Amino acid sequence: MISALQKLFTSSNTNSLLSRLVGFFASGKEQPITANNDYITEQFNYHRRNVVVLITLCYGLGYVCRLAFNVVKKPLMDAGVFTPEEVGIIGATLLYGYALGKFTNGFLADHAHVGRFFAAGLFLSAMANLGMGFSELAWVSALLWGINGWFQGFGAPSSVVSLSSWYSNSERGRYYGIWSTAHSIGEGLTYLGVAWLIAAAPKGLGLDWQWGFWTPALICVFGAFLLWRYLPDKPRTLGLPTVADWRGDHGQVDKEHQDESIWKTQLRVLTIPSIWILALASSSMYVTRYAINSWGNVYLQEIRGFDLFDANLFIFFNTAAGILGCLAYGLVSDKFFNARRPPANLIFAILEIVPLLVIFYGPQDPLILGIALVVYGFGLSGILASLGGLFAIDIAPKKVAGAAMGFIGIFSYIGAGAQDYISGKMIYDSEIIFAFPNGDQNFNIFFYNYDKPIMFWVGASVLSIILASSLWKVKAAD
Amino acid sequence: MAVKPILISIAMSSLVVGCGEKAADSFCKSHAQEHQLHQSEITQVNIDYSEQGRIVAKVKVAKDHAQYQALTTMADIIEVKAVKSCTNASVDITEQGMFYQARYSLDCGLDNKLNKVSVLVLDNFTAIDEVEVAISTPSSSKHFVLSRQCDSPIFNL
Repeated sequence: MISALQKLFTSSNTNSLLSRLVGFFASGKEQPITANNDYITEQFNYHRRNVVVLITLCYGLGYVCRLAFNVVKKPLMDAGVFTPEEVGIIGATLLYGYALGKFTNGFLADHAHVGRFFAAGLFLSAMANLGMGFSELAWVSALLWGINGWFQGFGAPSSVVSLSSWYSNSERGRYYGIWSTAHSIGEGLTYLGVAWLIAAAPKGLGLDWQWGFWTPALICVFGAFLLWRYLPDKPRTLGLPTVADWRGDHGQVDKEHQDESIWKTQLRVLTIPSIWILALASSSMYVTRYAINSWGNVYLQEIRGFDLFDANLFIFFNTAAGILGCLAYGLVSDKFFNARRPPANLIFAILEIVPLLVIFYGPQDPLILGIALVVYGFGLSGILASLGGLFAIDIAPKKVAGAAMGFIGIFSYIGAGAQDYISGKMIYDSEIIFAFPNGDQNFNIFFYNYDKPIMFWVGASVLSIILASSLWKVKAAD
Repeated sequence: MAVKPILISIAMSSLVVGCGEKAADSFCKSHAQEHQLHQSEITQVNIDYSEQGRIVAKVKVAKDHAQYQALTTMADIIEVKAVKSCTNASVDITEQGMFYQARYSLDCGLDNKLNKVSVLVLDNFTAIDEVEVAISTPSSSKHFVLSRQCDSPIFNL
């Protein structure tokens, strides 16, 4: 698509800035495959090592620019800058922007030089965070955060295209698992690092909430530089064979559509029923995921009485455990179930739902809460690695992995975005203000009830498992 | 590029910001740790909003800070805005040494939605500088101090 756009613009104006811009982001032309096998192996080893490290590290760093708002939600609500409903709307705009970005960018990423594409997204996301630190107007923040969502949507499709370009079917689960740890690395950095900046002394530095945006912006600029400099294009553009040819690792070959154009194959993905069911399952699971990510630390402060640092520390435990969950999911599904995802999905779903019930309805002991959050994070990250991408890549033709991921992504983040608004609305509807007027000054203490949102969050996970389990017999394609 | 003037400017700005902390800011930041030292002398407000919809507010205030008569009118102490109006308002005031202990209760009903509960002790009793507050609702509880010197409540006592 990018090549077509480039041709279009080149034909009308050879020196067009837009043409050069599109050309800059386009994937290179496929080169003749070099005959030197040692060189091929050396190049694959070199790039495969770089790819997994870069996409994991930089996708993780990018998360800080996506989640910063979650950490500063409570300070913003307490300071009366935004109401819970406005907070919910702002949070939702990011997720809708992200859904759109993941979908459109999923299609674009299949045609792009992913290193440049990913880097641009991360840099622009950093700029949006910078702007958020200056805004106290709900509509401006909502606009900036929505745009940030779209920029954030450059990362996952680029990473998935890299994964499908550089790792073959039988090993992709493990590498996907490693990459998926980026979610947890980024969430951990945010919920511990950014919370440390904002939390009151002695636990934190007690900086103003604005630093909760400006610091992530700096981190993302650094990540963008690494990607732009080091993340490679696809193997065929470097004169290397496809990874499936290099490793002799082919799945089911769809001969009927083998010579089909990428664009046609992308559209064909939308006709696969399993992809639609998977999209709905992922969407439901994302409701729970982003409920805990967005409102979990607010819930822990409001209802359980923890301070900002401790509440975010609990959320950090959940995300740290997620690193192990992703790795374990890839290993378990590849090794114990012969790369079949559904049995592993069921195991990890149970590990997600049971602790979720303990968190909200179990004993109030902080130790039990901590353990439940760890197990929940482990189970959730595992099943998300599958529902949010790996299973879709298995089902879809590999040359359109980005589009498959984008399709699942748009559903997932529509679910997540709707969740943020619905949760914010339900929380706001339950608000009771205890006001202590003091002349011109008013001390307002806000109380919220989370009973309804909690039922919504848990119910979404249950629905997700039911949908995912209906795909028990689905197999991988090539 | 002249780096030295930039570094000097940054250092000077840091000094200005660092040394510019007001005494009130310092008090507000440290008071959570020091509050216990004078807790027994401070006006106390305890509000319990039960699942049955009953609001009970207890105010313990030094006789030096409030007149008995001023405590007897519920509307001067607590004001409730709810979807449906609350009933059965009652006031009970006792003397405990140097303090008045006032108890205000009213029934807002099970299916009512409270919007705002205003507690007017700081507004109506200018001699009160600081109030320790504990509020309990069916969903959560909060404990904090309000001081005229601080812009926001002090939590984590």
